[in-house]
Amino acid sequence: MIELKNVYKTYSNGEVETKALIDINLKIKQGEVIVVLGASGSGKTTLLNVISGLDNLTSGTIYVNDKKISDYNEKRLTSFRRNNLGFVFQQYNLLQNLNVRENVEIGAAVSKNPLDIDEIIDRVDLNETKTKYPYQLSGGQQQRVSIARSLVKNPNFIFCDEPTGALDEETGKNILEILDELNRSYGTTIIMITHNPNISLMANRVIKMNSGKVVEIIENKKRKSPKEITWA
Amino acid sequence: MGIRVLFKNVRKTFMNKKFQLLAISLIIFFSSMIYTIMFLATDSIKTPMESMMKDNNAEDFSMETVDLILPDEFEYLPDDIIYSSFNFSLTELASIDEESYNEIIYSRIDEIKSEYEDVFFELEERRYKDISFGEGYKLRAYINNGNINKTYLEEGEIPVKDNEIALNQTLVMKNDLSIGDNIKINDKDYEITGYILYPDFNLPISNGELLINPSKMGIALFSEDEFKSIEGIEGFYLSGIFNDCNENGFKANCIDEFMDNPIDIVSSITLTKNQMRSGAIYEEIRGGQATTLGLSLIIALIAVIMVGIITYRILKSEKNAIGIMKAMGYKNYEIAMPYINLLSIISAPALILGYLVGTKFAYNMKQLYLDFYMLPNGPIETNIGVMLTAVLVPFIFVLGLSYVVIYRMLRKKALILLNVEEKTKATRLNKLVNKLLRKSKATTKFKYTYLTQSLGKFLVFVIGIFFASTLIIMGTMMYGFSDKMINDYYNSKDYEYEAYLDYTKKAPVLRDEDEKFLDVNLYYEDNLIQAKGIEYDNDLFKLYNKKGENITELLKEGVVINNAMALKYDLEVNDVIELEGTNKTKDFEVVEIADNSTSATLYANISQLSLMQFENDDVYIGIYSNIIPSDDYKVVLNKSDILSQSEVMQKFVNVAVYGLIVVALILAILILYILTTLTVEDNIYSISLLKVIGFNRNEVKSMILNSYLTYCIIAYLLSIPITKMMMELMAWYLSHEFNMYMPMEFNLIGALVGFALIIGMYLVGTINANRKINRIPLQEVLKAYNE
Repeated sequence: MIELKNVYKTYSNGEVETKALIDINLKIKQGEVIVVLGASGSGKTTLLNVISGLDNLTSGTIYVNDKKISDYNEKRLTSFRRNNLGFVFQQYNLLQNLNVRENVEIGAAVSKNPLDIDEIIDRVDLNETKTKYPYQLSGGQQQRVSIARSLVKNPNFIFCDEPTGALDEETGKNILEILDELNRSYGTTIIMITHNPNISLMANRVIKMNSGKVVEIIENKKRKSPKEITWA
Repeated sequence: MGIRVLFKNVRKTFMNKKFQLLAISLIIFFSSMIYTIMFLATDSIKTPMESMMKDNNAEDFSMETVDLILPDEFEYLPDDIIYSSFNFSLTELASIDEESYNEIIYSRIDEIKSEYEDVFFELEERRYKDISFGEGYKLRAYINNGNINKTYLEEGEIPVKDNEIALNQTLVMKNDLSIGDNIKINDKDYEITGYILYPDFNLPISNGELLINPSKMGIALFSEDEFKSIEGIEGFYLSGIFNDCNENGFKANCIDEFMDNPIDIVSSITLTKNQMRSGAIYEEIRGGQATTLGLSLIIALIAVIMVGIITYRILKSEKNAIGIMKAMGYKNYEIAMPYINLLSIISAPALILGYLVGTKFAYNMKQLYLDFYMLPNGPIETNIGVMLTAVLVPFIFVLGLSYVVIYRMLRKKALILLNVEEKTKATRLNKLVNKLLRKSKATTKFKYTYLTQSLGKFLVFVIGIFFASTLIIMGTMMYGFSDKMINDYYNSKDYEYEAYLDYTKKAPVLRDEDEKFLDVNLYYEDNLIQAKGIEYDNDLFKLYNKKGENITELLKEGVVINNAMALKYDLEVNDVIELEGTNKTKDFEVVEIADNSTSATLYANISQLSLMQFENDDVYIGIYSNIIPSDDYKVVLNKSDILSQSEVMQKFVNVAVYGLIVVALILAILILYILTTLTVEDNIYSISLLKVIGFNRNEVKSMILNSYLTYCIIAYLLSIPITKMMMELMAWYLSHEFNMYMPMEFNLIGALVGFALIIGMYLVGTINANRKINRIPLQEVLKAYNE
């Protein structure tokens, strides 16, 4: 479980101060799919950064599984990310010198309890492209590698920053299906940032942000499967 | 207006890479400076030297003839001279009866000329005395009476009185003296009348050993009468100039002919360029210039490739901006001009500064040469050829390569340049490394494929580190060479004094502490070799092999050769060699190789050697002793004086070694600095990603930078056998061309020091890259675009 209490984040640029997060209070339960919606500059990426320990808070506290990670130093945060978190990015961020399997292996290399690499590759349907390099793959395939890399760590939480942002509808849905399935099979908590409001239908809860504040939290009584979603 | 704005934009981009560009400027500066120093210095020596050689009729070749009076030459001796064929040499005759000596010399010259009547050359006797005095001072004095090798008077007057002397300027200066001052030689004061040089003796070496101390060794000119009376070891050779043929013609008609049909009285014929005492400078200049050219070229090549890499990186980061400018209607040359101008602004001052600093230091380099070579002191003159090569050539290459890189980017269409996504394809080298590491872990593979992503970067890195490693290994091999050459030899000898008999006097009575020795020249395969006779059971002149075992007793069973002779004639233990003496020709087995670093020498039991050359077995020419020999000996040398002389040589060699290592380290550090910071900059997103995935700081650094260390170590290890081979080749060349042995051996301690230097160089060179890795924020990976 993730709990944020009175979280503030302010960026200073000389004399100009930008309040990126203002008094965020939030609880995310284990196994939930959370979608964070908001316009550009609403603070959703900052929220993801502070929850995942990629950025420091200005004030407030964050608990993950009852551990106060907001007090962690860099070394402990690294260890925390290593053992608990997985990331999926809009631009995939694959290592260009490594083939598909090796990119997934890089994720497994830091985990105490990694899943079977080949099983995960099979799961994201990349068996045929295992020995190919990123430049030989389509965008959808690259994103699947990115998901496999994060999943192989066997994380408790996967943070996704616009995972379908660079993909077409069909490929995007395919990626969402994989994430949905992961959540259902492994109970992995998924926190996903997106511009696309339709994606929110596959979440347990939807957090809407505006100007650094959580303006609304919507609970979906029934999660839709990605197939049922109409693309914007 | 537009161009000005473009220039401002490019300037700002360049400023982001200011430290890397500064490091490249430094490399360019070094290339230009090293070239300028060496070429201006050597040119300032070469021009006046060649003029001296020409004006003073320098010998084209010299002939060594046997120093014994041969039976058919007895007719020239007056009846009142009592001689014996075994203890009367020609040089000794010179001090007793000059007229007879001259007659024998003239008859020999006539005989040689008649042998080679097809070749027209002039030949004349060149007589000298090697005078030892004071604490290790050594002078070579010639008579100023010939037509060949005439004395070159630099300043002052030629001595005419008995108490006058002319010396080489370096020796005088190094002893805080000047013209008009007095110098004491063997209890007699001489007034220095001038500074002189000889065309045939510009390197003050003794016995082929590189034992040079410019403050204690030099040349002297006395009046003729004084030359005759002053004490010293006499010697002579025949100096010749060929009149109707060139060097190749003379070699074909005379030297090759001599090798096929040797003349009894001639021991050797040597062209000046192969003569250590006068020709080494040619090789020194040629070798020095070739080495410097190579050194500068490699450094310049590294700099040029680096400029290309940085230009490419800058253009890649500006790809979209260039695309926009093209779309707006800017012409290619308008876009390219700011880049070219800025690269000119960066490289031109570095090259010009390198040339200017080089001009200043060329003077010091020239003085260093003149410390060792006795040559005319010419001014450092501006040389347009050197300036063009040092400044213009690298400048053209820098701009040329940059232009190619810029042109390749500019020829792309605006739409392509504006396209955000550009997939990075693996290079062939990348694929090869991937293949080699196919069974390795992904983290290992990731680590080692980094550097091979860019062929240019990999090439610069490999060339640079290999080059630096070679210089370091060379330095460590040279470090021990002077010490080994002198100290190892003399420290292994247990005598304090070395004394030579005076044949004009009765030989002093041998004391219990004295041990006899005999130095003769023998023929081996038509080559004259130095042979030393000692007792196999002597206590003062022991021979040791490479393992440090005493091998003197083995002289009972055969002959011992030193490693210089083994190298020169490709001889091994158990080889049987035929030696030809004046009296006998006999086969000997090489029983062991002595580990000493004098010129090629053979050691035999003194009685055997005496019989080879003379008719009885007890001839000797001097003694070794620990008690000071009497004044009845002609020359007495003190071992500690010789050792103290070697210190200067050692200092010089060590300075050269340190210089070599410092240049290597600076170069390698600059290369590592530029490449590792570029690598970090190129891989910001990957580094950030690794941090986000959960790799800790040390793991990330290890994955990004440790491959450099591994490649550094591989380059270093590879450079060891290659440098060793190069040095062995050089030793072989010196041994064959100049009969000089340079014991530059690879040693483990040197290799370990080199290894430590490589590690240190890596640590220093990667400091900034380490800092950069630490500074890369985790959120970087979340930024939208990967480049």
